[in-house]
Amino acid sequence: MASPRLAAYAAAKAGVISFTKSLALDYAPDGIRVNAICPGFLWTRAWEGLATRLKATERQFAELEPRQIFLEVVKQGVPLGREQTPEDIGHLAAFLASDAAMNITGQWIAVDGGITLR
Amino acid sequence: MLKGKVALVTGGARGIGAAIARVMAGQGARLALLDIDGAEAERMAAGLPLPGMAVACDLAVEREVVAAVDATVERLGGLDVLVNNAGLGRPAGRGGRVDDMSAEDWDAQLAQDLRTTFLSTKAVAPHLKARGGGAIVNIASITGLVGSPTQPAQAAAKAGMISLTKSLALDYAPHDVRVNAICPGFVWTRPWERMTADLKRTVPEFAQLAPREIFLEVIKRRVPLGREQTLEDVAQLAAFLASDAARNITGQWISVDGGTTLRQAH
Repeated sequence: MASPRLAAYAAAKAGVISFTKSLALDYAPDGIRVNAICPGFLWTRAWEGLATRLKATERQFAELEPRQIFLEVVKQGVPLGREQTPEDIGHLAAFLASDAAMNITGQWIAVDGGITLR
Repeated sequence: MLKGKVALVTGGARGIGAAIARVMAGQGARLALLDIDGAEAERMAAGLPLPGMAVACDLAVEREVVAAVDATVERLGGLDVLVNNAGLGRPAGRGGRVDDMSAEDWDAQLAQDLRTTFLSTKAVAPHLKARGGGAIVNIASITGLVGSPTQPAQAAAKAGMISLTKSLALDYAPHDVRVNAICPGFVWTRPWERMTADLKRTVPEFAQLAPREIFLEVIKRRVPLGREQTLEDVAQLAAFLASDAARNITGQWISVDGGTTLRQAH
């Protein structure tokens, strides 16, 4: 995805995805699998900072608390209509790390409630 | 991980569909297997860790699909999961390359994969919505991600399944119905038996090999992880995607291919 106000962050994350695919090929002969998870909207410190900035810059958010701003963004941006949780990421990470995923490598999987489909 | 859930698997009598049923039943789901081979589906359902039901059904015929889904809901009380797995996975009729293919064969191939997915989804979706949410897992193929000169219709149909996955994910998101696709790579199933038989006839260096040996040779050359993918691999991912552990994953397509498609531009 493009992120007009987070260009460097977006480029770095895109780099991680590309790196994932290259490493997956590089390490495949050694039986090492490499996959990427792309989390969507999680209430983390990064989002607290972002919501605080949105409060200062966006008139529609001026009266809201950072957490309320976050939930408003979730309502507007996530097709499934709810925030993603650390638990969601943990479940997928555990699955990818397990032998149940022994033939999955070089994949990038969004845990974003459908955000990037739009 | 699927305790209390009811799952319907199309093409559940054998191969990937049967493996998905076994893994899901092992995780506590009750299964309904829809298959054109009703007798084999019946045997498979009876032998599941948690015995399920089977319905004989031509998945390309709308009224049969609707009747089978209704029978499932009546007997199992509702539906939480749909796995769209049916499809012959081979060129219909003479099939093959575009230049050798009749329009009828083209239509038949697209119907096998795409129409069956459409019909099952349309019949099941109202029941998932009625439960307040659910999950659909579409079994596509890595041929839907790359080109296939020898199976262009199948590749187009599988690419269509991936596109449909994304559209349905957006369409059903307000009902909390998630839709994801799995793209299996090299899994030793009947379509591959037929394909290797073709390779044996047409590729001189394979002439002396048995189909299974040809399959393993192709894997050695094409799969970065160097091993075949298994029914179990696909089934484990399907069960994960159907479970609440994946409650915020939708509209994704995930290859189970040991890295095969990483080598090709797409």
